[in-house]
Amino acid sequence: MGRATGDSPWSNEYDPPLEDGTVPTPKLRKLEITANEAFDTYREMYYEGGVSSVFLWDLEDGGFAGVVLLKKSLNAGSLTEPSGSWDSIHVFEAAERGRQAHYKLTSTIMLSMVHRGAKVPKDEKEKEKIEATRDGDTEQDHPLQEQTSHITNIGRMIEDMEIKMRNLLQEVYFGKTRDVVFDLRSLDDLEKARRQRELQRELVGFMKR
Amino acid sequence: MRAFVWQLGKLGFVWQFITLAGLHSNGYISDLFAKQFATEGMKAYVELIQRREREIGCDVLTHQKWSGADYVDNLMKTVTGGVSSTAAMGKGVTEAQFAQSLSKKGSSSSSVNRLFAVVRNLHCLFNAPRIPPTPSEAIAMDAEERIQAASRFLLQSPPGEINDVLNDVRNIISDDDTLQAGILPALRDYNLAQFITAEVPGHQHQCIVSEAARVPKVAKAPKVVSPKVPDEVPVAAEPSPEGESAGDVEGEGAAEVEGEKPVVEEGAGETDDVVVEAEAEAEAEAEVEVQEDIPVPAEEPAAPAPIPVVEETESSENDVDRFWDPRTRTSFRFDHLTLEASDPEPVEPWEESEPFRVALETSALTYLSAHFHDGVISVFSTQDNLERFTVQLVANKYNPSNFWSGRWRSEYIVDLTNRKLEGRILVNVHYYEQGNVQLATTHTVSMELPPTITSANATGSASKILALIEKEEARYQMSLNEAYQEMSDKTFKGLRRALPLTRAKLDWDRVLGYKLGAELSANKGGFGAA
Repeated sequence: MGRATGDSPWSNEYDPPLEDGTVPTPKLRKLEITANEAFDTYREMYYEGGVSSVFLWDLEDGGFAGVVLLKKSLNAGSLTEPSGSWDSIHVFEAAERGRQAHYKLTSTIMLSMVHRGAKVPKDEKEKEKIEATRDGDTEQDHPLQEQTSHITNIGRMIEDMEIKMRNLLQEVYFGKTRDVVFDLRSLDDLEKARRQRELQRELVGFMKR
Repeated sequence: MRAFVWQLGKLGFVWQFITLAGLHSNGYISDLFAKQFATEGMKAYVELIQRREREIGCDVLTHQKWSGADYVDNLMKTVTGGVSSTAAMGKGVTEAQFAQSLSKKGSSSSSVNRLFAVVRNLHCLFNAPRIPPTPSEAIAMDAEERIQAASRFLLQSPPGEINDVLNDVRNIISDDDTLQAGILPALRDYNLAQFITAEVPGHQHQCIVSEAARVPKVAKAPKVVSPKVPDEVPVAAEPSPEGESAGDVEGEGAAEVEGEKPVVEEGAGETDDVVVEAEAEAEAEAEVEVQEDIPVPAEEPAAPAPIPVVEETESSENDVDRFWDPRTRTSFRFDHLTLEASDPEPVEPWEESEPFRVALETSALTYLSAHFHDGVISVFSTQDNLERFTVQLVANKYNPSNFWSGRWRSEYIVDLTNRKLEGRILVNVHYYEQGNVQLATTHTVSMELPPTITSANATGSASKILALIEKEEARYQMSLNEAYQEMSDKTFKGLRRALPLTRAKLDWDRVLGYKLGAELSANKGGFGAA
């Protein structure tokens, strides 16, 4: 991402200054400002904190592309509090076709959560950590009334994508790792279970005669 | 319409067959699918069915039980007597395969598979504390930095996937020779830390290859001369306090290391530098702590001598580690690249601590078969401490066709002198179907040994110790459930809510109407508790 290092979408300046750093055309820049404000609201509603950035750039064939970045971190106040971080990277392309626009969206969510046993607050090493990444992509067409419709359309696509991925991560992925742990070690005594089954078989054998 | 089902239920109608709903839901989706299939072929399946299943979290899509794979797997296991392709660990599994892949210059897997593997593993590696280099950056780094980066990746491989990680790393580094030479230390560290298991040559079972199992590296006796004892002959002839060890020692000859009686060594080998410097009677080191007292031998991994690749050559014998299995009293050479054990030699255990060690091992094996499906356990005694034992357990499950793998490692140190049982449990799980999740847990254990546990009463004490271990591991496994619950409920919500406080999705048109964001941040208190 060319402008990612040190460029701020809020001030449109590079930090440290970059002579030939690409900046969007004035028309796109206007859209970029509005997009940042809109996603700022989105961020506040869903993340109640965190940081968001939107970068847009022009494409050779007339359309434009952009990236929406969202980041939230939970820093544990003490060793017993949970901590974690969520990072969203949404990259999209928009192509205008008359009164419609065609969008492609590719998203990656990176999630990390650390849980520390409350019983041993002094022990730094005591913890469970889950880290996950998940991709998704979609291609959709939406009506285009004015330039700001782009933001509405992309905003809705990203919102739906994040909801879907969050649900998947929470339900499928976390549940699955837990299942594997219980697959590795059995709480019940396997030998006892085996002996019981054999006893059952014997008894059934007796009954059949 | 909404209520009659439950109302009927209250009246006592327990079984209610809604066949109409079943028939028509089938008809509906079949009609929809067939029509789209006619024009779009299998793409219709992905779009209409699979993607939707995924979106709504439909159990059938991801849960093994619906496909019958588990059931058939159990059938196969019963029929074949315990070996089945999806559940087996060992030679066929990814861990052993990379050795072949490294020797093949062009991998035979299709480019699509490789692409998936790269994407999957790079995402997995994104979670590493250090940012991995991009391909162009990797080329710009010098050979040393590239090897270090590659080593870092390898050390973070999920259970059973070091093969895949190595393949991906090869693509980035694009210099197989440098890679092969430089990553050997990382491979060794990884294997030892992960309690890699080895098939003991000449026996039918597996043992754990870890730092506790290592025999200190020794060059051939004629080549290196120890400052303290020039050759082993005087030592061999030295009368041992036990008396009967002399006979065993004489039979060993000049070459090998491990045949020596520990009792002999305890007298002669007290000064540590003797043990290391090519001393023929150097014995198995049981504890990492003990090893720290010993000066690092000259032939450490970073030696400039070229390290052998896949093909083991005889001249490299000295650079390859030797480990031992207390249960069969065998030491062997272990190649960290091919994961193969070879060149077995008999080892005599330390007599005084052996009865307790055996008792501990017997109880441990019972514990293993009671709670682990595919586990390996090894119990080591300590060289200079008759009252200190290490119990190591590893259980692996690999299921690449269903995109998951897991590893449970436990290690316990029994110290009869200080009356302590200390240890740790480490669990790693990797699930990577259309995404990537890794679980890593660390749990430390520390407890006092009850007075009834003594070295005199070996059998009784051993089973009591394993009972303590069992209780602790069961308790920990249960507490993992709670940890999951908390992470899923509180932590997740703290990162990102499922829906905003309004309980509805965002109204984007309104958002564009005015700048809500700034107002919201200013009025945070107005929304009440988050």
